[in-house]
Amino acid sequence: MESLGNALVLLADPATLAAIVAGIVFGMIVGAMPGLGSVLAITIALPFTFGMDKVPSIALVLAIYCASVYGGSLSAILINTPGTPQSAATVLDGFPMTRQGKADLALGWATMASLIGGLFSAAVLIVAAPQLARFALRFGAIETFALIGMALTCIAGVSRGSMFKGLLAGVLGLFLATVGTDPMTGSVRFDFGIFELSGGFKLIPVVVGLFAFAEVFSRIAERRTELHDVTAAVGFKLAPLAEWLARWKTIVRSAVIGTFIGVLPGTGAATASFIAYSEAKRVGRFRERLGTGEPEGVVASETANNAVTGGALVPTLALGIPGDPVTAVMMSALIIQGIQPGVRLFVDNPDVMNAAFMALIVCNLLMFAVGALAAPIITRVLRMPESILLAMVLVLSVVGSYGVSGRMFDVMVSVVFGIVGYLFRICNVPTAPVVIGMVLGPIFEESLRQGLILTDGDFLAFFGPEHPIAMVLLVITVLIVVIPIWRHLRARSSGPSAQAGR
Amino acid sequence: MPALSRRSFTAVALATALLATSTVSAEYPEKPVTIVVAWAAGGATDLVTRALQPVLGKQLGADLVVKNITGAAGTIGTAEAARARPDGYTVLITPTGPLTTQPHLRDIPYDLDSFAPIGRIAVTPMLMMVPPSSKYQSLQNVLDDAKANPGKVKFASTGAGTLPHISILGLNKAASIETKHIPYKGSANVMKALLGGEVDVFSDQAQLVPKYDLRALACWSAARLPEYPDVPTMKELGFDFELENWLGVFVPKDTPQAVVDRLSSALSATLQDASVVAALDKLKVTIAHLGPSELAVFAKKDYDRNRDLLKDAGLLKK
Amino acid sequence: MRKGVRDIIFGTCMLAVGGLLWWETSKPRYQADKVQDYGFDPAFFPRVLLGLWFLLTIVILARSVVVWSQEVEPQNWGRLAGSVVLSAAYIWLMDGIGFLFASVAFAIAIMVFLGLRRPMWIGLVGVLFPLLTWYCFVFLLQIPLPTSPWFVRL
Repeated sequence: MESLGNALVLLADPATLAAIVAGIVFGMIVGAMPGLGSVLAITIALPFTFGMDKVPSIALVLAIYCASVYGGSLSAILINTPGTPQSAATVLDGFPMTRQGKADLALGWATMASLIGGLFSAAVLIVAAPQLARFALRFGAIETFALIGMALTCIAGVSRGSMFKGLLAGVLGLFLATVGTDPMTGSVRFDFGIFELSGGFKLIPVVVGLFAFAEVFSRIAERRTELHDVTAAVGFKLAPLAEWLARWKTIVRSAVIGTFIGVLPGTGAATASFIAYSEAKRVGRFRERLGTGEPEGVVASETANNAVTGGALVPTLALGIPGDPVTAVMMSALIIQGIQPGVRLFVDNPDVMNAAFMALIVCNLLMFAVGALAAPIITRVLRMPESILLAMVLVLSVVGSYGVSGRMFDVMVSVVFGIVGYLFRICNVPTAPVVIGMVLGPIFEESLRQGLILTDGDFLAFFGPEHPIAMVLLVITVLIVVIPIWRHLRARSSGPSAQAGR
Repeated sequence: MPALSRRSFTAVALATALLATSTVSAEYPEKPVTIVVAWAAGGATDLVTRALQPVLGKQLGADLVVKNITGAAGTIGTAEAARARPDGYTVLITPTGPLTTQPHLRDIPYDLDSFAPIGRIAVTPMLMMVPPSSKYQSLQNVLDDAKANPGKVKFASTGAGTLPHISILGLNKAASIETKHIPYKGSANVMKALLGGEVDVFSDQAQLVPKYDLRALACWSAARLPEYPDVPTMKELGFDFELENWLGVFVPKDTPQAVVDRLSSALSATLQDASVVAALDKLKVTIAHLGPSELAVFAKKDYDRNRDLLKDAGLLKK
Repeated sequence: MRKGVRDIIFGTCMLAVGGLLWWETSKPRYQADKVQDYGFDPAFFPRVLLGLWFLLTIVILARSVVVWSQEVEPQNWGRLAGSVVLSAAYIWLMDGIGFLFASVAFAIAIMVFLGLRRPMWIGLVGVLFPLLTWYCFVFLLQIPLPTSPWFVRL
């Protein structure tokens, strides 16, 4: 209790609050820019923390982290381009809402959902970090393989239009992830003599291409001339409470999924939001309308990706093992402050850690406030003549894919995938599965091959009694795949007979 | 056009170098200098670079811009630096891997001699480590177990051609043992596997040992480390090895000597600056400065040693 | 164009690309002898994927009959080609004359191409937006952008 009081004193420092607000504004802007993500946002701010005290610098980094994850949803909703890969699933329902002139409502749903997800995971982090961290250690290569296998089933959930085309797009995504240096043997695959390809396709240029460029190309190619939409709703609007209550199950489920995925090192926020989305599609109350501008889809994705923030901090803080590049940079920020994450962290620095936890909660609350204040300004882009908006999106996309690693090659990749994404749209092939495949592909292959080394090449041993978690995950995966097919078949076989009886 | 400007620049640089070295500072640098880091923002190399950035910039009298060009074990960014104009406005800060092992493994558009050394920043010693709950108390335990159960003891690495991998290859050969090698993406992933009991032994940078409460069995440096006086070196244990990671500064070859001198004096001044020493200390990086000529010899030695090890393991490119 | 025809073209293209990739995996370096202590060779996982790839493509080809008679929404190919060409020119130009100049030229060109006919807007957005973006990246975010041969930072 005493240390809680100390924590409050540390947090009430004006420098800390200033750091949080600055971090939120900065994180939101960088997150909303297509191509620039959380890692870059934190790295840019890192030199500023060198000269700051412990608590303000931790608060700054936390604020940037949460806000950059949230910021990605702004561009996802408004211009059909996820600002960060974490928000790729938000596009699926967020942008259709904007097209229906409900951008203000979509932002309301996304902001509130981010707040709920962030607060939920912060609470889990505070209450159960050490226990969850021990659980995370039990996830070896084989368990990870089973988990990713389960996650891949969400490709089916986001395949609008044709299921088989969606699956093919997912396979293509997995394949794209194999291009470049094989991490296990070091040999280069599918570079076709182009040296730049030996580093593989980077996720961000491909996402920028498939979403931003493809969106611009297909809007340009539509048989309409000027699409100036003066009726677009600008502002920020929260849906009535009843609407929220109608979707409470999806909110809770997505928050749990996000936190859980966050705790397991190496999976990431993009995975979490896709899984949450496909769960909403599978069992959500409004699953029939998902993909057509249904708030449940926005809520599922945004709750989950912000719930990852607290979850990902569990192994980072409690074990000193960062699960992804974002938490790795955050851990460096702590180490620079002389705080060593790991099992002794909470014993060594109770005051600072309590202050950090409080800061995380405050960050989420202030993020909501800043989001609500900023929404009326940023939604104005929708009132712009479309030609201006498209020109701006193209310039930002180019600069975003260039900024990732400063190579023109990545910009070319973006444009090529823009054309591919456009052709896919014409062919009614969904593009979100490509992103899922690219995100999950490297971990999937790595864990599969590590597992095969561990079991001396025996794939069946993956699901033996030595790996109970993997076995459970396999059973769940099989059920997810089999039940809909079985239902479908039963409906089909009972359908005609029912008709015949009528 | 580039050839012409390079030639004229070289002429100017040579002339100024002949007249008086002090005037060089007026010639170079006259615009921002780009530092290429071939690893992601926030990684170990990037953090050291960003810690040096302000002071090194002041010493040089120019703005420094850090450019992260990532991919393929650092070779993409390193190749980009090798391709840059040799005018001192593109500088590479790199660990040992991309320069001394990757050129042996596959065809890449550069080699160690594509670069001229500026100076070594730091050396990171390596330890062989096992989890606290491990049954191994010494290297001898590991070797005995590996001899009794060939191909069963699980050694982790951070990918093909990395120092942890080379340490496995070296030990396998010298002790004539057979082990199971499991590559991971990075040392954080290995830590998870080590603590979770998925792998048994790992060799990497020494600071991991206190960070994760691990047990050190052997030291890969020439002498025992002051922080770990009880950990014997590989030499004491009867294996003639010396493996350590280091961080160096390089420029493309054919960079004018005056520019190299200017950069190397700025680097050595930076590494003596109190704020840099403090910042690197927080990152647990020990400064071990070497000048251009010493680094050239040092890097070449590493390069040859790695080639021999990789050749014995059958990993040398054809 | 009919949807069935479209799907057959799509499926055939995917089969061709998949076949090319499979052929690539049969090259010696994918089965290199480097593999001895690594478990499976580098071609193992890609080949599993390509197998799925072929299977799904064949299903899509077979199903093209189902959607045979429907029409694909007509596209304005001229405008599409124009914007692709402009984008390609933009990238090519950026490599030569730097981000800022290329972006100003491109932003103005694409706005005119898309039918905006208000000179003040075109001038204002076309110059100010790239300028603002460039300033934010180079000075605030410290991310270098391609430069022209004439100036230090732009």
